[in-house]
Amino acid sequence: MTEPISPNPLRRGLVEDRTSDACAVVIFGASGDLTRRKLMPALYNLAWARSLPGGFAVVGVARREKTDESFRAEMKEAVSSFSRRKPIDAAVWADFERGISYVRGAANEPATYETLRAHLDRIDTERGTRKTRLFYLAVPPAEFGPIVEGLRAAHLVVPPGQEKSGGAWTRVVFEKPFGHDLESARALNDAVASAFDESQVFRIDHYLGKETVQNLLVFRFANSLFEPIWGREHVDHVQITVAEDIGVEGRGRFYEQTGVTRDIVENHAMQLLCLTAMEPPVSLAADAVRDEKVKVLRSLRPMERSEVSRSVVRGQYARGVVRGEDAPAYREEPDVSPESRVETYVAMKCLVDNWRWSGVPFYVRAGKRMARRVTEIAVVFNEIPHTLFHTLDGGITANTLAVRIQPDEGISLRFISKEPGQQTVLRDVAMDFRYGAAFGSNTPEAYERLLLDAMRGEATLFTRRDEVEAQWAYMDRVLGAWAAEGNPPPPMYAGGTWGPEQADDLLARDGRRWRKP
Amino acid sequence: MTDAAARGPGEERPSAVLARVDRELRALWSTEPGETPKARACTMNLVVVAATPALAEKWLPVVDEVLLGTPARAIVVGLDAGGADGLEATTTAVCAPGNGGPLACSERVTLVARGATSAHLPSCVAALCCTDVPTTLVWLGEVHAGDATFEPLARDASRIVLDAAEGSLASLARAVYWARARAAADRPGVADLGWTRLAPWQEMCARMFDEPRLRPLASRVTRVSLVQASEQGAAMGAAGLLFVGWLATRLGWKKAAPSSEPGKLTLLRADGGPVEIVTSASATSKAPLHALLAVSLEASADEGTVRGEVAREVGDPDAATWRLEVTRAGAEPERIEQHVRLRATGPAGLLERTLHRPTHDAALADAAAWADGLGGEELACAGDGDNVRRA
Repeated sequence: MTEPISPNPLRRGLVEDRTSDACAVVIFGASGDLTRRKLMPALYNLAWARSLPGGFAVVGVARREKTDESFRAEMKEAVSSFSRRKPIDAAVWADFERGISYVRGAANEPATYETLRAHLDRIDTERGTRKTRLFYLAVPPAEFGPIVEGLRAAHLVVPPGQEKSGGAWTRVVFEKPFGHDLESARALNDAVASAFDESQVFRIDHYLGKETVQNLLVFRFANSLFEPIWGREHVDHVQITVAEDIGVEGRGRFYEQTGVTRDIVENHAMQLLCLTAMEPPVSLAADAVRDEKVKVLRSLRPMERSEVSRSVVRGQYARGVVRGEDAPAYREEPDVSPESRVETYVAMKCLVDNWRWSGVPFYVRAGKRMARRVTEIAVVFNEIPHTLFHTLDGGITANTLAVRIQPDEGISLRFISKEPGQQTVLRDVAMDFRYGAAFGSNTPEAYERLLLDAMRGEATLFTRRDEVEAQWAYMDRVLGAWAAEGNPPPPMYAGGTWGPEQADDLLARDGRRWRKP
Repeated sequence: MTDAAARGPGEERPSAVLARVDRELRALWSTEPGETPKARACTMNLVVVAATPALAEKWLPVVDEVLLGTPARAIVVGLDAGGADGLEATTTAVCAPGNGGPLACSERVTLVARGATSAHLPSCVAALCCTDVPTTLVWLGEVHAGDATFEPLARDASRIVLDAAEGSLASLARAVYWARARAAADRPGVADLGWTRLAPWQEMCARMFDEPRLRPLASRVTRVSLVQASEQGAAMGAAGLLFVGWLATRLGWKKAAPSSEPGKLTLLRADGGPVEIVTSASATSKAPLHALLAVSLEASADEGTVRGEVAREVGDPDAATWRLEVTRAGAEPERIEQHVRLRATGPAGLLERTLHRPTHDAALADAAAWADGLGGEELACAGDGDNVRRA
């Protein structure tokens, strides 16, 4: 039996400035947009906030020929353009760029990994990273397998046993999409498991890094006011909206293979549903939180094929007007087939078959080129049982609690109030909490939190294997039903609207209607 | 930022001044046609009390900067105990850009309490505080037992912020003792800007023992060397004393007999072994007076020895080099050197970081009480810090 490792006494009561171990972050796909727009600015912001360890290093890996200097210059330009902290701080950048280097290589070439290993060995000596590495796969899913195998074959993966004893560690971060159906997700998970222990795997869903999403747990479980009414006895239904006003924006080829169901619903929307519906975890430990989310996914009533046409509505955007400008139809976008049947909108009614949520529908919708960009979770409470007040417009609207994920992150509670005056005139008003107003506007980007968590080995905000597979298992039935019907053309909706009429019918059949957030 | 009118000294009774402030605060939120709408935001009352009106004036830009990131109702008070009785007040909205939406604005009230009005200051502040949000008292001066202004303000606060580096360690310790004497449910947290300044140093020293194989060496420290920014022979300042207090309370060190040699102090570890504290000074740094310039720790046990060091870089006081050297019998020494940034230590950034720390910090209370018992005079910085840093 091994002796337990005693905690570091100097860490006792140390509440701030805990950085991760000195480590090298190796980004595969270093020439890509994600690296320029999100990853490097996030790492720079962490450096600015002094959240990175002194011996921090970033190694970019991509096919293009570049020198360390040219890669640094590119990244400096990217950080200058996309960091939330502008202008760039010369002293912070000077420290940060000392750790940036570049390795040219392709995912399927064994030589890439040999070169990378030699490069990382040198960094270990120069920066004191001691074989502690975070591999970030900002590449298309087809390259996940070859990279995982390349890392394993080149002995770049330290087994987790050493990590647990506080020695060097290896972690790997995967960008979504993780598979395109249950079968491919399982195959990918098996490939990853051949090289990495699940404790080393961090599957990113960047929505989980957003402050408001994290706040959902705090809101629910740190306030005694809401949890007692968070269930079938008081909630009529829940609406989850992930709407974008932009189209596919040059990602036509990608969208033709995915569609909004795989791009948004299977991951982001399902995660929002889980966080809304889950039971209190026994702790905030990664597995405790993820266990509860998996229970929600397993409680989702599986949709029979016959049910899919009644409970799920697809749509595709036609020409329209968005933000005052003419916008093309999806089929007119570059790299999109003029006969495309890919859905850019989906609305569905999900039922969570458990004690808390029995009979409470969760209406989920996600779409491109909609009236406005908004992501929100709206909990609509039951209507009052009896009306005491005379109302001119025929009724008193139900109270609604809306958690806005983006933009204008915040929480608003709509309730009925009396208008000032001699008569009793009722009015729907909102109590509005905005993050920007309450805590200032400089909220960390989701990627900052997620990268730091991955470096610290905190996996709560990442999706576990069984979670990903449960998400796919649920969505596969929907995708399978569409395939079985020959993938009929989806109904069209004008760009700049809230989706096809059939989506309104989906709620109207239940005597409800969509919010216009 | 919008300006509002200032009142003449002694022209109005305090209640009239406060009524006027109330009216002005309400008026801040009316929007003229064509004006960008303002949204009032308030997460706390931030009460800043300075020993003089000039010091309060100096802190106004600091408070305004903090309000941009931490919306609050700020009440900045300058005391002028020797002046003719009177209360002066100005009100101002401090607005953060709204990114196209309404401006998110905080309120700042500036008070100058002169003469006998100083004694009534707590009731004036209480009348101006927003309800249902916590109150932080930033006390820019010495804390004295039974102070008629400090105690009522501190009682109404959920957190008291001091700066031992500007005031004194004894003052911080008195605030800690005062808070400890209160019932737990009613006890404000005590924070210190100097303690926040030390946080990166603490983190870097803790990191020396993070590796599991090195952790046992944390209880075998034999020598601690500190260099502070001051003339040689000066007493160790609050930063150094708090730092020694932090190490001692974390590692269970006790005071031994006073040392006869200046610049040296011997403490006893939990296992009875000695720990030598060696202090020196350097007057050549750009860092503020009494700031830490370098810290090194040496520890030795059967497993080997470890020597860790954190030293500010000579040309850039906000940057430091962290070094760790591990030696084992029969093996080559392992050396790691890392360049780290200490974070800007301007007062606004420091106060903001302090406000974001947990309200109650037992480690600070323990360290302050321990260091207060040590007494700065016991620890003069006798050595030549420049020599130590060069070494």
